[in-house]
Amino acid sequence: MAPATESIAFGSPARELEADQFGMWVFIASEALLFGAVVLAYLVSRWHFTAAFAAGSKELSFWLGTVNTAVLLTSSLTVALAAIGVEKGEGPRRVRLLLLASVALGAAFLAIKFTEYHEEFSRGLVPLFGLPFRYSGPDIHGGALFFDFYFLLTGLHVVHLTAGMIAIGGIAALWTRTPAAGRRRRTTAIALYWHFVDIVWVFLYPLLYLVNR
Amino acid sequence: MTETRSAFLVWLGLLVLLAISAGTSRLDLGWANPAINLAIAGAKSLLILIVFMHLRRKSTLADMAAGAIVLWLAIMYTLVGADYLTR
Repeated sequence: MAPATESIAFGSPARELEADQFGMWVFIASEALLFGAVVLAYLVSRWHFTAAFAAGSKELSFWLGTVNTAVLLTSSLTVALAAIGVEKGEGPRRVRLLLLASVALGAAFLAIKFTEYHEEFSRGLVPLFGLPFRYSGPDIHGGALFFDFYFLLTGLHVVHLTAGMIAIGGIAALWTRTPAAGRRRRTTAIALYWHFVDIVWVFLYPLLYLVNR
Repeated sequence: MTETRSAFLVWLGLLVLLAISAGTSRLDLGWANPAINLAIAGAKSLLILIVFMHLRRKSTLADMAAGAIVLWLAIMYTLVGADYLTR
């Protein structure tokens, strides 16, 4: 008898793994077009309001943004190590710890991100939800547009990161009740998603924090 | 080279690239600043895609999906760019 698959749709575990990976890639493609469209709108606006976007970018915390990039790149390492471990059939405890470490690094990223948000809120740099906007840069209109894009892009990224943390946390929580083949498929699929969220930030960091610094 | 070792090397490479983009952003290099930033973001993405996401190794299906992302984004950026940059 052939080895068991989780779904009866697949003839072998290898086919099931392949289908899972492809499904995640198709999902990532749709996500890439979502972020790609917003980034394109950002670039067109930056083309029109070059000076205002440069001035707005200087208001962001260069150091918090840079540290957060390092935190997220490190979380990609722990996820990659988990995926390598699960493929090689390493100790399940170790792989689970690596997954939990990734969730912790994601939480650290969120903590730093919300520290930034709080600072920007207290300085009146949030042109959303009718909040008082006290930005005193050279071009108020273009500046407000920069902060609109900043909160839209980082907010969208935060939502994706949070979803990834919940998914990874869920996989780790159900770890002992999941058969080995299921652990492998879930870990490799969520690793792809997490690396994609990392790549999005790799582009957001220079686009938002490093405009003509 | 084991996979674990290459994962650590890629992570180190990513941090070095981050340090370069953060460092050069403190210098005023004119048009070269955004060019360096874009090149480094592209290099980081390629490292993540090829080593961490196993592109070009595991399956043709994944390569096709990644290729489709590039194709559709290229169409969107070319058409919008052709409009806004030539007004």
